[in-house]
Amino acid sequence: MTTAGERAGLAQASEATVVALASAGDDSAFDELVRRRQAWLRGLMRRFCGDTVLADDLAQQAFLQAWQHLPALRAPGAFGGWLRQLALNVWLAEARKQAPPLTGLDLPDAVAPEVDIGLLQDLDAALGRLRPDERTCVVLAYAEGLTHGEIAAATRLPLGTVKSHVLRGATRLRAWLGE
Amino acid sequence: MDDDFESSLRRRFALSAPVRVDEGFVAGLRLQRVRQARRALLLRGVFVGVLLLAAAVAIVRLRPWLSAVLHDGAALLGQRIEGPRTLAGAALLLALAGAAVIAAWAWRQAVSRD
Repeated sequence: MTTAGERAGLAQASEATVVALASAGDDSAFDELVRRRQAWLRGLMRRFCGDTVLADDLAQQAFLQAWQHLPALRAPGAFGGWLRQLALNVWLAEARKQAPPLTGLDLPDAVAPEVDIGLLQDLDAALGRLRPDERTCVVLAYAEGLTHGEIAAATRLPLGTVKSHVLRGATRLRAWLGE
Repeated sequence: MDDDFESSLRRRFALSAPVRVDEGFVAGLRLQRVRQARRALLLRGVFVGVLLLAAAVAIVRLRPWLSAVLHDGAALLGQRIEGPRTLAGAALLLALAGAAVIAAWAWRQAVSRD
């Protein structure tokens, strides 16, 4: 068990230190990493899949993979990007399993095709209307701030495809969000 | 796509619905890690057990050759050994006992991880 003092000490340590400790097998250090990164990772997964329950499951899978493979991470400072890549891989595997495409997951009835989605003014609902590959590229570009080249490398999609997904996705969002 | 819309989209992403930190999520993940570690340990125990059994079977199958080697060795050292059957039986029992001890150890480790 971790004492309150140890936990407070971990909470104040730099992320690189906590990653190094977790990498050496310190369970409470890994818990601290989960505490620090869970809001971001679960939020990212929600954006990717549009379903809060599935998103939490996928986030858990990504964290479990991080726990298993953490000793292989050479640069503790690169933990954030490394975790994002793990999360993206988990999401892409899930998206491949789910056919037909994941559009419209967890959307309220008001998002049925006959309803004007532009009235909803809701980013998450509008994202849910995008195709999964477009949504993934748009989220990585605008929520995560990755360049097109970085997205292409992370998703293993051709650069031209990434550009067109981002452009088409953003154009649709603009129309639906009424801007 | 104009810059105004792109910045507005980035702002929306930054501001919309932040996910709350949930201590239950941390606890759930900890539990999953413990389960995964138990499973891995159990698999390791089973693997070692199977390996020892295979070794025991191999000893039995190679009994004549092994006993000949041991007899020769014993003769060289000036010692007496009862016979090939006793030797193989002892080796098998030893391997089985080792497998049982390792399996018991693996199980104990598995259930005491939490």
